[in-house]
Amino acid sequence: MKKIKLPNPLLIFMIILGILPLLSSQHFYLHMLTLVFLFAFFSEAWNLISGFGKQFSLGHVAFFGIGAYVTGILYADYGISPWIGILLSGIGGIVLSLLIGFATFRLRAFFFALSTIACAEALRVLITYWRLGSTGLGTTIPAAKGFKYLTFSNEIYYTYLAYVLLLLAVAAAYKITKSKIGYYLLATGEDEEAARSLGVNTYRIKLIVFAISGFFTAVGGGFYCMYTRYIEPSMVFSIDFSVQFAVFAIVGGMGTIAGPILGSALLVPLSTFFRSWIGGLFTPIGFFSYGIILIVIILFIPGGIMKLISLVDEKFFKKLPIPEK
Amino acid sequence: MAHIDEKPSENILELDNITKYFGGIHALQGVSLNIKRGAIIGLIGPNGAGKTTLFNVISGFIPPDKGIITFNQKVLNKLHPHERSILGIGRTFQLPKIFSNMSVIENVIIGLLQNSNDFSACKEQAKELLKEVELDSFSEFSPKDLPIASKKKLEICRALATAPKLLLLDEAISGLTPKETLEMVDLIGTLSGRGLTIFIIEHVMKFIMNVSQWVIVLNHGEKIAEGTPEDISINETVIEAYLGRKE
Amino acid sequence: METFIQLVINGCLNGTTYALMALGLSIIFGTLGLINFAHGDFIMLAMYGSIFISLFLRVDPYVSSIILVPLFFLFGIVVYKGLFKRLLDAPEESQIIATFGLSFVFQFGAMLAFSTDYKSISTSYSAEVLHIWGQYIDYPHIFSSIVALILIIILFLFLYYTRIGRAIRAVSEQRKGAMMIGINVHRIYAIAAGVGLCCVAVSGIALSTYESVHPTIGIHLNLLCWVIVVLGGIGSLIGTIVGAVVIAMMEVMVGYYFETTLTTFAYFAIFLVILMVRPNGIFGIKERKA
Repeated sequence: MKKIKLPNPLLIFMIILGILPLLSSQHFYLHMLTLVFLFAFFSEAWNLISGFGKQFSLGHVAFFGIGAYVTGILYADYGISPWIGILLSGIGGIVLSLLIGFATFRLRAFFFALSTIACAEALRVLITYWRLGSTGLGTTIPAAKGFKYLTFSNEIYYTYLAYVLLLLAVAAAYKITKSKIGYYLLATGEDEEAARSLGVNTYRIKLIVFAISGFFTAVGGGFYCMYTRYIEPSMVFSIDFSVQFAVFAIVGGMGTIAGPILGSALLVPLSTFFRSWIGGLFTPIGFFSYGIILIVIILFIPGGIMKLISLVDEKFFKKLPIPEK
Repeated sequence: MAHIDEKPSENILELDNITKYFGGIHALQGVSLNIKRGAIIGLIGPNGAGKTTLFNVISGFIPPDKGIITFNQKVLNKLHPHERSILGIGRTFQLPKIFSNMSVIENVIIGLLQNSNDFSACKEQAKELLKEVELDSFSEFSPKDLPIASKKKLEICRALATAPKLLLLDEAISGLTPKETLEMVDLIGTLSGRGLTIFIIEHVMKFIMNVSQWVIVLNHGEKIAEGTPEDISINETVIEAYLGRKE
Repeated sequence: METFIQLVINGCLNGTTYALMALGLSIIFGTLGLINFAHGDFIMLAMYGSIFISLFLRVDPYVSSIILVPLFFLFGIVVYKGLFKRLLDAPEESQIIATFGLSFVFQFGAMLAFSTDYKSISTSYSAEVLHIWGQYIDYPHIFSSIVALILIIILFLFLYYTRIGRAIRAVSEQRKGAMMIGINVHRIYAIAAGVGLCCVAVSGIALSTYESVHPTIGIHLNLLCWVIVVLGGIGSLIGTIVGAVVIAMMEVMVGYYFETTLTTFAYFAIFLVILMVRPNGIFGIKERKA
């Protein structure tokens, strides 16, 4: 293993992504990039625990929703700056991840996935009950201008904020995979029993990584709520989000750092295209085809885009993801 | 029990009255045994006798319903598998549980990381360990394609990386060719020579009789006999329960 | 006390229909070992099927089963050959995502074909209520639970007393062993998928007599069925039935004594608590190594 060369492809890739927002100032283009970065970020966070650690979570929307609600409510109801709100969101994400992890990490693979859905759904119902019991409406985030309130007139600020988030997640993923925790996480994902027999406290490793993943997702949820300016339980706790985080990573390549970004870059524009360009009336056709695309990808390229790339150019990309994928 | 007096040296592992039920079936029934420090002990018995269950109880994967496990004068009952590994119990599995998406050397590094945080030192150590089991030439390869014998060796090597005092080998030679079996016998001899205590489950009687100094026989979750290989091979109960089935 | 009895009766009546829905899933999962996240959407399609056939032919929804059940049996075989078969050896997450894709296809296909409107049928007994021992029970629920009960009995007779049924059970217990004694595993899988969808067809019909259908109803039904099957214990058909009754009871009780919004919360909470105590479900028999 020649160590020195390792970061290069990933670094180049991230720099290229960083230049993209400067290429055009068209609002739609930037909006699309913001979404790509943001969902790549979510997918990257999901990939930490579910890709590297193989703990298949389908309840990550719980962190997303909690993040959106903490930031949104603190700002809309109490006027607290979203910057502080997002930080608190992150802490909320950590607390929630520890609770969910405590309840579900002893379950075997698929039961874990189902339990995370159950947690997210239970939370959705609770928040619905709490917020919508009287009004039946979601919460609109007031649009006060200024940096302090995370409100910008130019889309490019949002794009770069999303980019920074993605950069943080990628850096964290890179750092983790090169560390003892990362090695232990991979071992846990491969074979938990064997890992335990070698002295790995798999439960603790999973909790730590789940907390990191939950933190990022909740922070992103806070940002998302400031970006869309409207939150409603059925929306920000929708199981569709959980599935999307997973789908992007799977299509791009689970358990690789670049995978979630590639998946998001491919599928976010595609689904937006289906939703908006074909026109509202035909939206179902879009999702219909989306479903078919999903099935086709799972059946015919099970390893995702990263697998394809590694087949095409083994030498260059083999070292791009973390060890031996 | 009488045999305790026969063993003068200190015991590294003591099981006292270990009992485990699985849905009403006795998987283990009042099993008591002592493992001498530095010895090679064989554990034999027909299929379903509870051998692997006993290993799982010792290494902490299955909590016993009754009984006490003592390792180095320490009661293990409440400890998790990873804590037992840190105390010095290493093990392999009936079907090798190799981390197949990691390289061979990374498999060993996972074990070494238990006692070290220095990756480059771990790597050097891992190479040394792999050399001992003659797998050093495969160190950067994926273990997926290794033959079964090499997988077993890798698993032993990985367990050794955690610096165990007691090594539990679950079927170390089943599925191996005669030549590979001889290599494995050598390896076990070498390890024992360094003072490592080894507890082996095996089906192949000849192997266990050659390798071990003491043999314990389980049948239907009960210990039916123990003694030197010579004694066991002429023990009436054992022959009836096990040897009589004609291998 | 009277309301309590009423609630228990309602819970049991809902529970039997739930049981039938979940048994379809239980058979497919137990036999094929495949995680099907489109199960709810199959039920949704069966509800539409029931409504359209009975409207078109002007017959009672239950009569439509003559067409719908064989149709769904074939549907099951087709889906098995087209998709499930290819997913058998795929990792769990691939199965989940692929069947989620299938769920998308069904959901939005239904939206294209039937629009997003709520659809329902009225039968001659839709508004009829049975007044017995001081309790009021509506006929659609009574009929649906009787039909469900009959079908559950037929299903058990099929699984325990016919050659194919026994083969299905043998395969679900051990795939390799079954192959060794000369069972054509793929044929059995296809039949199991077909039988599973027959249960879906009948439960969809039963459901359509008192519940209106819309394209996204499957999401909820899917989670409901999974919760029931896992709660009861994988591989235990009795467990599935018990799980269904427990969940239905919970729904009715929480809906009455607390708040209708919280029923979903209640059954997810119960689900999590039971799994924490019994990680293999209530009747989960398979002792797994930790």
